[in-house]
Amino acid sequence: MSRRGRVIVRTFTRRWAAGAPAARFGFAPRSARRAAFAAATRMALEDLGPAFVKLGQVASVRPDLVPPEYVFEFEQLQERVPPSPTAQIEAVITRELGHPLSVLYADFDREPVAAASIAQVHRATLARDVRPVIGEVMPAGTPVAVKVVRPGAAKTIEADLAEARRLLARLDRLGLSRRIDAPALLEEFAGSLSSELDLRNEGRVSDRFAYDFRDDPLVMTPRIAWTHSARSVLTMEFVEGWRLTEIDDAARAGVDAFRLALHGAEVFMRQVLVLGRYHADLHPANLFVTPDSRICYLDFGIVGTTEPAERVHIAQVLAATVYGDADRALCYSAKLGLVVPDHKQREVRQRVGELMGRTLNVPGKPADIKGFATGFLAIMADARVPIPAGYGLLVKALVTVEGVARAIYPEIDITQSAKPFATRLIAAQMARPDRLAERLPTALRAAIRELTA
Amino acid sequence: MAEDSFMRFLAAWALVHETADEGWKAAVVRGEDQQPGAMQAGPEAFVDGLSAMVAEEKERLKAALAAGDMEPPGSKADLESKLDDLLFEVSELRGRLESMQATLDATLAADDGSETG
Repeated sequence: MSRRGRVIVRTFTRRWAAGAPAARFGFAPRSARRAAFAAATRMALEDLGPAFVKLGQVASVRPDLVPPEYVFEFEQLQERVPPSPTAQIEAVITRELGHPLSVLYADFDREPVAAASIAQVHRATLARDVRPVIGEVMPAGTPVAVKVVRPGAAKTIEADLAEARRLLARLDRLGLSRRIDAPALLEEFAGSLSSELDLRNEGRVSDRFAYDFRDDPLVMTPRIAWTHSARSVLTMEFVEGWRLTEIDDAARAGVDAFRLALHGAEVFMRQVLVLGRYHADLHPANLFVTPDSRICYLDFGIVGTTEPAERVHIAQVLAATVYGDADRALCYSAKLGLVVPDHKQREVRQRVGELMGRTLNVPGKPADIKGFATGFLAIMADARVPIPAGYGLLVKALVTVEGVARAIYPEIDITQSAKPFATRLIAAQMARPDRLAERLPTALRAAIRELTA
Repeated sequence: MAEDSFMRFLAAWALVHETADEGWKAAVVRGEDQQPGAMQAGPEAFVDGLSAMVAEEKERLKAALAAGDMEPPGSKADLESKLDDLLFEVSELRGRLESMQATLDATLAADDGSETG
C-alpha cells in the first residue's frame, strides 16, 4: 500500500473509532448508529482534503446510492483549503486569456475572497466595457469576481481518486462496502469532475437561469463577462449582499425575509415543474440576499432536469404528499421509476402514511420535509426498493430548498408554495382535450345518476 | 310523444346545468372563506379551494379579455416570445464566440512567445 493509502486507512480508522462511543459501540438504535458513523466519516473526509471533500459533496446529492443519514451529514462538509499563491493564479489567467492582468482588469485583489478545492475567487474591476448575454452592459470599472481553476487541482484530485479506487477494490474483496455504492459514486465523481473543471459550463447554466427568470424581479444571477472567460477562468459580476448566515443583518437593513424565503421555494417549484431545469446544489454558500431584496443564485455545479411527462407525475407526488395521500404518492412515484414490489406494497404504504402524519400533517406545525425525506428514504432502503437517480436528486434538492428557506425564515412551511404549482399543473393536465374526451362521458353519466337518484 | 321526450331531455339538461351552477357557486363561496391550509382537510375542502382558485383565474381571464390582452397563437405576443428565445440563443452564441476568441488570442500569444523565445 502506498504512503497516501496508509494515511487514508489510518484517518478513517481513527475517526470511526472516535465515533464508536456515540454509536454505543454498535448497540445504539440503527438510525443513531448510522448518524454517528456518518458524522465520523464526514470528519475523515474533511481531514483527507479536497478530493475526498468533493467526493463527499457528490455523495450528498445521491440518496439513491448513499444512506440518508450520510446524505444529510455530507452536506455539512467544509473545505479547509489554503489558497494557491496569487502569482500562480495570475499565470493561469494570462495563459488562458492571452493578455496580462493589467490589460484585462483595472484592479485585481491579490487576496482571494474564497478558496475551494477546484477553484478560487478574486475580486477585480473591468478595464473596459463588456456586453453580457443577459442584462445591461457592464461598463469599465464594474466590480467582478474572477473564478480561476487552481493549478494542479485536477492532477491532485485524480491521484487521490486512483488511490481511493484501489482501496475500494480491496474493501469490495473483503465485502466491507455493502452499505454505500462507492464504486458507482467514484465513477460519477470522475465524470462530474471534468465538467466542473471547465468553468464555461457553469457560466452557460447561469446565463440560462437568468434568461428563465428574466420576468422575476426578485431573482438574479451575476452577469458573465465572456470576453474575460475561458476553460479555467470565469469572470462574472461581483454581487454585494449577505450570505444566509448573515440574514439577521439583512433583516435589520430592511430585507423582507419571509417574502424572500417563500419566493425562493416558489422559484424551485417553477424550475422543477415548469422549466424542467433546476439548481440541485443549493447550499447556503451558493446564495446571497442583495440589499435591494433579491435572491442571487451562484455556482450552478449540479443541475437536475425533468421531462414534461415527469413533471406531471412529480406534481402528483408533491400534491399527494402535501395532502397526506400515501396511496397516490406511491402510485405516481412508480411512474417515476420508484417501484415497490407487490408483496411489500401494503407495509410500505402503511409506513409512508404514518410518516406523513408524523412529519407533514401535524396540526399547528409547519411541514417537516427533511424529516419526511429521511424517513421515506429509510423505508425504501429497508424494503430494498432502489431509488432512481433523478428521483433521489429531486428529494435531496427539495430538502435543501426547505433548509435554505428556513435559514432565511425559520417558521416557513414550503409546502404552501408547492400547492398552487402542483394544483395548476395537475389541472392543466386534466384539461387536455384527449383526457377530457376520455373522462367526460363517464363523469357526466355519474353526475346524471347522482342528480336523478 | 317524441316532442315530449325531447322537451324532457332539454329540461333535464337545464336542470343539470342549473344544479351544477348552484353547486359551483356554493363551492366558490366556501373556498373563498377557507383559511390558509384548509384545503388539506379532505376531498370536499380540496374541491372548494380549487373552485375558488379557478374562479379567481376566471376573473383574471375576463379582465384580460375585456382589456384586449388575449391574443391567439401566432399573434404579436407569441411572436415576441419566439423573438426573445431567438435573441437569447444569438446572445449565447455571441458569448461562446467571445470566449473562443479569448482562447484563440491566448493560443496565438503563447505561440508568438515560444517563437520569439
